[in-house]
Amino acid sequence: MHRFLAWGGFLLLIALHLDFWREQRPVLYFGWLPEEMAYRLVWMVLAWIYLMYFTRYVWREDS
Amino acid sequence: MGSLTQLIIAFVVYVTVVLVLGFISTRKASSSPEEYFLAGRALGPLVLFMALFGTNNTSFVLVGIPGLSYNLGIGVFGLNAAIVGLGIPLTFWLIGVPARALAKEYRALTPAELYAKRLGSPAVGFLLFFLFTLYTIPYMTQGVKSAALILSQSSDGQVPMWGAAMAVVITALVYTSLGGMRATAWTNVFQGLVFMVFMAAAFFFMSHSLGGLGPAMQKVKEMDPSLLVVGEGGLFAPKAWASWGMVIALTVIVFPHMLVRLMAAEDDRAVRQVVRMYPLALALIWVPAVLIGVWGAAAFPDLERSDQIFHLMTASHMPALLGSLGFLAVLAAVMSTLDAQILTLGSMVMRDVVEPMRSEKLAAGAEVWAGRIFSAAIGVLVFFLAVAWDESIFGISRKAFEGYLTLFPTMLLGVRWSRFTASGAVASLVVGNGVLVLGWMGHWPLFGFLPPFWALVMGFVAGIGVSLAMPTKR
Repeated sequence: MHRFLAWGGFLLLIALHLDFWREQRPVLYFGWLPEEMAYRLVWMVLAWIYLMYFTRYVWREDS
Repeated sequence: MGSLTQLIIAFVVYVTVVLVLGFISTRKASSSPEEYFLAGRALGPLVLFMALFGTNNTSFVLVGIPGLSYNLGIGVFGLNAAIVGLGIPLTFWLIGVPARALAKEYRALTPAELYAKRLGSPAVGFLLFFLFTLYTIPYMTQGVKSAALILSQSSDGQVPMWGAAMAVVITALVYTSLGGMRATAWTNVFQGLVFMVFMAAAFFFMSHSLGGLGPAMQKVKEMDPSLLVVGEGGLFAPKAWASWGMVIALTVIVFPHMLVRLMAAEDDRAVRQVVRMYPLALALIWVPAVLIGVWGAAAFPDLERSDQIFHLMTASHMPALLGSLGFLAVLAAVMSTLDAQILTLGSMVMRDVVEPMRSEKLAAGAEVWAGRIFSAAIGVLVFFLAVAWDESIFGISRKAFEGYLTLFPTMLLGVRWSRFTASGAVASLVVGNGVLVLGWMGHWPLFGFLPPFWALVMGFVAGIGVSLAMPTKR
C-alpha cells in the first residue's frame, strides 16, 4: 500500500515539475514574489511532505 | 581599517578556525585508514547533514547560479533547485543506504573499492577510479577558480589570482591532511553555517538596500519582465528541461566525495534525518542565490561576465563590513567541497590503484601517509589547472555533472540488482561515456534531449543487456 502511494506521489511530483501546460506570466504575488518562484516553492513544500511520508513508511518497509 | 586589512584579518580568522578543527581531529584520524578516510563510520545526523550539504553546495550555487540567473532569470530556480530537493534525498536512499551497508560488510573505504569488491572485479574498480577522477578534477578546478576570483576581486586585484588559488588549496590540504574525514566533516559544519548565514543575510540586506522586496522586484519587472518567467529555448525547452532535471537530480550521489560521506554515516537513521532536512536547507540557499542574480540584472545591466554579479551585489548592496566578507561565504562553500574531493581522490589513488598492484598490504600508518601524499599531488594539479583554465564556472560544472551521470546506472544496479555483473558494469560505463562524447560532438541523434539523457538510457540498456546475456557467478 505504502509503496503504491509512494510511486503515485513520485509520478505526480514529476508531472507537476514538467509543467509545460502552465502559462508563463510576469505576475508578482504579494507585490514581490514571482508566480514562477511561488509555484516552485509550493512544489518544494509538497516534495518535503512526500519525503517525510517516504522516510516514515516506505523506507522502513524497505529496511 | 582598509578593505585589504579587513580581508586579511577575516581570512586569517577563518583559516585559524578550520585549522584548529583539523588539529582537534588529528589524534583519532591517525589511528587507522578507516578512521582517517571514513571517520570510523560514525558520523551522526547533524554532522552528516552538514558534511553532505557543505560538500554538495559549492561556488556553483553561490557564484555560478547568480551568474546564470542574471542572464536567464527566475526560471533558473525551477530548472535546478526544485527538482534537486526531491531527487538528491531520494538517491541517498536508493544508492546511499545500500552502499553504506555493503561498504561496511566488505570493509571498503572508497566507492570504486566498494563496487570492485561487490562485483568481484578489480577492472571495474580501475575504470570507476579513472572516470571519477576524470570528472572530479574539473569540478575541483572550478571551485578553486571561483574562490580565487572572488578573493582577488574582493582585494581589488591586490591579491593575484594565482596567490588566492594557492592560499585556498594549501589551507584545504593542511586541515584535510591533519584530520582526514573527521576534520573535513567538522570543518563542514562551520563552513556550512558560514555560507548559510551569509546567504540569509544577503537576502535581507540586499532587498533592504534595493528599497524592499516589492520595489526590487518591480524594478526587474519594469526593466525586463522576461526575467520573471521561464524563458524559451536552450535549457528551458521542454525536453532539455526534463533532461537537465534528471542530470542535476541524479548526478550528486555519483560524486565520489558525496557517496563516501554516506559510507561514513553511523546508521540508516542518520541518513533518514538528512533526507528530511535536505529540501528545506536547499530552498534556504537557492532562493537568495537566484534572486541575487535577478536583482543584479536590474542593478548592473550589460555585464560582460555574469559570474561577477555575486561580488558586485555583495560589495554594493550590503553593509561595508559584511559585503567585504562575501568572499568568506564563497571560500567556505568551495573549501567544504574541495576538502572532501581532496580526501576522496587521495584515498582512491591509494586504495583503488596502488593497493591492488602491491603484493603486500601497507601498514595502517603508511597507508594514511600515502593517502596524504596523493592528496597533495592532486592539490598541486588542481592549482595549476585553476590558474590556466579559462571557461565559465557554470560551463565547467555542467561538463562534470553530465559526465558523472554516465556512472549512475552502474552505481544503482551495482547495489540494487543482484544479477548485475562486472561485464555489465564495464559495458554500461563504456557505452554511457561513448554516447555522451558522441552527443557532445554532435554525432548522436538527440531528438531534443541533452546528451546525458541518452548516455543514461544507453548505459542502462548496456548494463542490463550484458548482465543478462553473460551471467557470471559472484
